[in-house]
Amino acid sequence: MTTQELATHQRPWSEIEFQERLGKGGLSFPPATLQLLPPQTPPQGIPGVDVETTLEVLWQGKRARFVFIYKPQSTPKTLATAIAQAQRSERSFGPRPLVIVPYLSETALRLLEAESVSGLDLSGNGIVLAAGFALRRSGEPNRFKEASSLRNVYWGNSSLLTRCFLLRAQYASLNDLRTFALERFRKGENSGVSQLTKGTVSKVTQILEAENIIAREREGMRLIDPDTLVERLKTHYRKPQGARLEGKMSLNTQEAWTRLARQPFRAVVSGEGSAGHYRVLSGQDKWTVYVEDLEGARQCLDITPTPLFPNVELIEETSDMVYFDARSECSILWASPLQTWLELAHSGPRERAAAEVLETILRKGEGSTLR
Amino acid sequence: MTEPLPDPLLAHLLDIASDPASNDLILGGGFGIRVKQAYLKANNLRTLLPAVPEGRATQDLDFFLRMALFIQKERGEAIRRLLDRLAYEEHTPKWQFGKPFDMATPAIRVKVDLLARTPLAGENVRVKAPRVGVGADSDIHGRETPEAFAVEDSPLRVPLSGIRSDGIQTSASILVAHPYASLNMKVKAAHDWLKMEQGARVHKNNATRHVFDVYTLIAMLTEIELEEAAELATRYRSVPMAAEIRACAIELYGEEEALGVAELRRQLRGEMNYPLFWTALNKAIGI
Repeated sequence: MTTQELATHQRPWSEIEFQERLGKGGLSFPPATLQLLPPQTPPQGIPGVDVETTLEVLWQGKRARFVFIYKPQSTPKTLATAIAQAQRSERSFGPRPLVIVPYLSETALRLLEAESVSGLDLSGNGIVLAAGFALRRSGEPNRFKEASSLRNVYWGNSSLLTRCFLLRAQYASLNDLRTFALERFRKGENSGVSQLTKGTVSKVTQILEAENIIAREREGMRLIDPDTLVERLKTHYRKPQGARLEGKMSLNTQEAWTRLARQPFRAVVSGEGSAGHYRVLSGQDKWTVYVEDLEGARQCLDITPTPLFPNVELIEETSDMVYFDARSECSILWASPLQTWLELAHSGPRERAAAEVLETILRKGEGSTLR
Repeated sequence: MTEPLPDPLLAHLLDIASDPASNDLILGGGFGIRVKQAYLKANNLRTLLPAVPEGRATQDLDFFLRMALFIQKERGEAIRRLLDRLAYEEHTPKWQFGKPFDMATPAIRVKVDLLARTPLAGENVRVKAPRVGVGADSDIHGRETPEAFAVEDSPLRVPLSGIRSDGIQTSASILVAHPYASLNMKVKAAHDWLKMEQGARVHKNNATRHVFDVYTLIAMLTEIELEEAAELATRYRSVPMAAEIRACAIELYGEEEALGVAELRRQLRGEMNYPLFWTALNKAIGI
């Protein structure tokens, strides 16, 4: 998304604003023409709606009337609620229901189509299913940015909380989730504590709930759509971009970790490098390690830089993501199974096949069982 | 072990390799690269570049003759008897041979070229350019190849298996030139292409393949081979031809903008780690 696009984003209209703007022709769906008809009391209206406002869609001399349901949010959960509301209000004659939300993605349009419910958005997309004609328009960008969706919960420090749902599928409370996340940091690492505030935990779970990825229940919160969560984490994943150094090191792994453990900076084996630890891939020629201080690590491990058959690669990385949920074995710190899965999933064919093995476990929300 | 090569030339190589006389032959050229690639793949050996470009197809078997063949007459005679038994006909007396690939397609011919390095002063092998081994009475000569000065040094024995041209399943082995020797030969050939580009020589078909063969040989180096190559480069440092080839390599590939690099990028469609290639070539031939 460009800066210019961001600048044109509006706050979604409230219901009152929507009614006002609709009256002034603020909604369009070319090539059809939309016309607002005067309100009237329905004989059997939509539950919770006392007065029906009817919208007429005109296209090539044909016309169809709809009674609309406006929702000022476009989250999957909101859309699902609106569709259910529309289906409950379906009548055998008279105006059919029409869902209106700020933005309908291609996925949302397909859902409306599958559910045989008409829908329009405020960005110019929509699907109109009328007697005698059907119209579909897509590809218009989202003109609205909802407050909650400005936070990317699939990348960055917020994503650490999101990742927790693949490590363990259920949490008794927000505090339980926060405690679980904080326990995934190594002792003495303060960055996580400052990042994962109670407010952040609350916001992230609100978004995940609005996205229908988790559900709040009497017992707490539970992962309900691991497939979407897995896909979004994969889509938003970015390979570390820090400085790199390849070279030869004469130390064995154990000796190297003994030295690294004495350093003031963090270090962890990369996700791809940890694949062998989780028994999903073997035979790596090069040992890749994330470190917070590249030069410090180079000196500590006495690495001679060379691109020719390097046996070690250091990648400078200061973000918490690669260090989060690291697993220790014989003083070696291995990347989290989740980080391992993400890196393998973005690598070659052999690695992607290995990622699928881990993904099966993570989809069940059982990542914490991997040792 | 070596995976069966999906190559009809393998049957003809097996015909030769399954005869004990082949112990004095060292396979070079494009098919040497293909045989080596199959060996690396079958043994899952780590190479400098994980994705080694596939060796080009060829109809030629280029064999380097050991100097001993010209010194011990009976060893040379054994090679000639082998070629005669396999019904190879002379294309050029005593060093170029050929025969139909198979009975169904007699027009397509498999060719065997015999080559040899320039003999050393004390080896007592006669050269009458371009023939090596003149007067040895073994009925074979090697075409003199000065850039093959290291070809007899540290060749790799590669196991082969497959079906011979007589239909018999066979396991055998053949010596393949060490990457140091191959790189020297290929850099020299690639430099001939450069001279063609610069107008000093008449263009030959497919001359650009040598430019790419250098890249392929670098890509398929194993760690041990690179160390061995560096040692060989030190050992042959004072050989005038080795010095000439090092200068050729610098002219061809010494800068990102050099013609050889541009040609490599063209053939690789832009995907090239130049610093890695150049660093490895430097070490492998001792630049």
